[in-house]
Amino acid sequence: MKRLSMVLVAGCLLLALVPAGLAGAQDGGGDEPVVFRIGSVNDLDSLNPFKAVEAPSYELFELQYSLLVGFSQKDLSPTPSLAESWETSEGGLTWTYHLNPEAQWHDGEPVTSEDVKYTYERIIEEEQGLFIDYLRQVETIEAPDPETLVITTKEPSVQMLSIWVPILPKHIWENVPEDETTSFKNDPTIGSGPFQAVEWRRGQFLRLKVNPDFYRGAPEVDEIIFQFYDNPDTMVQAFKQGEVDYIYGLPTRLFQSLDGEEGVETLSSPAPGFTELGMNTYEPTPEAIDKYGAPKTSEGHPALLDTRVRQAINWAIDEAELTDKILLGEGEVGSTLVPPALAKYHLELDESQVMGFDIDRSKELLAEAGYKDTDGNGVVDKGGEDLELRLFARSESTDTVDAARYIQSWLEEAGISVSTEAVSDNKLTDDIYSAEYDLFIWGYGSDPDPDFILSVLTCSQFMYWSDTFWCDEDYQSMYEEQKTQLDLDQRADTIKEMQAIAYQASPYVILFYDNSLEAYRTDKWTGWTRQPEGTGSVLFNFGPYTYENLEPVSAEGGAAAGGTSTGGSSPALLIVGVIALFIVGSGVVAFMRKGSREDRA
Amino acid sequence: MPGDPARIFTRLSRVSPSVIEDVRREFGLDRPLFVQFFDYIGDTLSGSLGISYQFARPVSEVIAEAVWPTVLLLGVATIGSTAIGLVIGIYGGWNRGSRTDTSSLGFALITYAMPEFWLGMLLLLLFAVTLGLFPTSFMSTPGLEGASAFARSTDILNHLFLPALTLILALLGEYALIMRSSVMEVMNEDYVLTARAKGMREALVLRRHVVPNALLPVVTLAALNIGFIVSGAITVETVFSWPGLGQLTFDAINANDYPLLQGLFLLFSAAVIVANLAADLLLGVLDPRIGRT
Repeated sequence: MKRLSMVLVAGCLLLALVPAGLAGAQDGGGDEPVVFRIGSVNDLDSLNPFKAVEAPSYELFELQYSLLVGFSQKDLSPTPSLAESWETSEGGLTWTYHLNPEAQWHDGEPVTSEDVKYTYERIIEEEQGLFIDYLRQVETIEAPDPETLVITTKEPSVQMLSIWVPILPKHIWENVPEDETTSFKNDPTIGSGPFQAVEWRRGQFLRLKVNPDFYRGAPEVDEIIFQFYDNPDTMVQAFKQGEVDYIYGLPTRLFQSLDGEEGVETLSSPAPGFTELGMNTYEPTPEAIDKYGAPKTSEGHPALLDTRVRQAINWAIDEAELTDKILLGEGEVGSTLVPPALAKYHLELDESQVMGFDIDRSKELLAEAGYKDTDGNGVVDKGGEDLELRLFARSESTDTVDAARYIQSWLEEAGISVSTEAVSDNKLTDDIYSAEYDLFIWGYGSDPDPDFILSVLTCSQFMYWSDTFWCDEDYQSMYEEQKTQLDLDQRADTIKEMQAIAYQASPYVILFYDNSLEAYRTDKWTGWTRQPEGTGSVLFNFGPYTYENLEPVSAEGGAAAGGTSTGGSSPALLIVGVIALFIVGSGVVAFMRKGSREDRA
Repeated sequence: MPGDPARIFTRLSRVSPSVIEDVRREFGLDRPLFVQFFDYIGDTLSGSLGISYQFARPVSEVIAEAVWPTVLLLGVATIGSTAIGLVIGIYGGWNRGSRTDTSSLGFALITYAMPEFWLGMLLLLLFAVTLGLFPTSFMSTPGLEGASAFARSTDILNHLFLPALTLILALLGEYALIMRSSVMEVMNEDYVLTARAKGMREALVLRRHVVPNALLPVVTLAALNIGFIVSGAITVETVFSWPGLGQLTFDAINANDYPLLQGLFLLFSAAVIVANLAADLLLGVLDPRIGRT
């Protein structure tokens, strides 16, 4: 009996080890695709360019579509993309673009000037808010032949080479009715860029496949996978493990913890963006409701409609302290709307104009607006009601949650009671469009041209990019004026004046200009390309340059990059084997013992 | 209720108030709350759980996709934790006060007392980062769809290990404790004394007379636990980005996705009821006294 059980145990052992051995043998295959993996805590919000507002969606569009004119890797100047060349008439009203004849859609159809015309005209006709401000000055669009596009503008325009609009295939989108433009799923996603999105599982991953017929030449990378993590700590561990090759958007503390990690480069680069405290200044008007579809009522605190209250909040916030404590030096102290990365247009405030950190000044302004602490409970009140505000931070960004904690304590010092809540981007977006908020912390990334970032504070962006419902006539008219100022010094003056107006009115308190924080594996990949050259970030910028240049470090490195952690040993299998062995073994032993005992009992 | 569903649907399309009214009408949101409630009951009885706001797909479809990852994780965790918990409990109850008893029970209680997400993070640091044995997140490696069935199941096993171990450690303390006290109680029964008196070997007394009787409260506990495990799985699934019901609940709460939340709660309640029923039936098999009456 004893011998039999030994034989059984040995048999089980063999059975358990054979599959483990097979697993090892299978991983040796050399034809694995070259896969590049990106870790992100922020998911896409949509595959549809008319609906998406989140950064990963824009990174996808960068890969999936082409712009008419691109932004160069060296200095963001206009560079050939779909259009190989272009010229403008004297007077600057007529623009002629010559398209690349090689360009084709992912389904094999050629890209023609009709597609560009169709895309732009659809945006103009439907007033598609996310893109309309790039095209407001357009008068007519013509496509005399498949490779030529002619656009005439109403007035001379500075914008015709920086139109950030992905060109869409006419043969797909003409089947999408107008009332479905923003609800269209756009899956499968047909574009003309170097990669094509093939699979998106919300909250898990997005997979892109290389476009072998890309007109600039197919990249080395066969597949790009965005992996979405619920938690930045886990993501950093996954990166250290080599499960992903690139991560971004980390809390500063985690970013700095990666310093000195072997085979890893950490890059902190000034980005044209900022993090702001936004305020709900919505006052429902018939125009806002009928023309822009804004909510009929505002759930925001009425005190925020008073410029003095908003300024009081600005005075109660110590931007320098936040930059120091939250960004740990990876960024600059916030002030005006156009980030310093756009040096020509950024307004540098005089000492005298700056609303610094002064709680007493803040209390004075609140008193001027009629808010005083009459009942001695430490909170200012008016008409018997305490001034209580809600402050939303983003659960997807722990930096904003930390910033909210500082801001809450400063505002409470000034006598404003604040309740802070961390909410998802989705919920925050909905709260903003329903005007059900008081204060929030979020961020913006600017285009290389300042037009976009200026547009987010215009009235005509209500229900699109506007998240404060701030509307100022002077600002609005100057915004339209700067689009036509071909003298760039004059344009800069107008833009600086706009920033001064916005700063004084304080719908936003710009907290800091955060650097773009990236970490990537240099032991597995070469070809990391910064844009602009020497100062910019490697990904999440204005062109697919890194994706086109990436190469696995060596043949072996390529296999490692492709296989990641799926290859090699399979410890789980071994453990399952051991457990199975244990169960079977003990079962056999128990059965035999039972047999022998039964005789005796 | 925070968030206006009609707004969520019409987001980023600049629509006139009349369109928003249309959306309200379409979803029945313009009707009195109690009418909406009966609509909901009627729809549910006819098998429709509504459309998820977030995914723009039927709730039943969205839930069906997330059920299997959770069933797999909870199944493995429940089997593992009861098996190990029972062994610790039986041994501890039988040899009360021994060194093995105090140390194994102490270990089980410490892991039981740890918050699951923290325990999960610690295991992740140890096994995934320091030792590099297991992947940190997800249920499978994205992009492995083309691989053989065998490679894919191995991949899932690798991903399953850490979340399952976390849940096993978090749950086994409870089973160990209940089993231990149950064994100790049964050991004082007269029939155990009788068994010993007739000269039965100790190991046989334990297996034939003590364990079957001591097992009964544990079965009830395991069933009751299913309801709680789902909530426990929310934090564990979030740490390991496991695409199951816990993560889905987390996302649905974040996105104000009420139809999806309703569907999930319905499923959770049903799971608790079914598990209790199963426990009652199983008790009938395990305990002949119940079966016969």
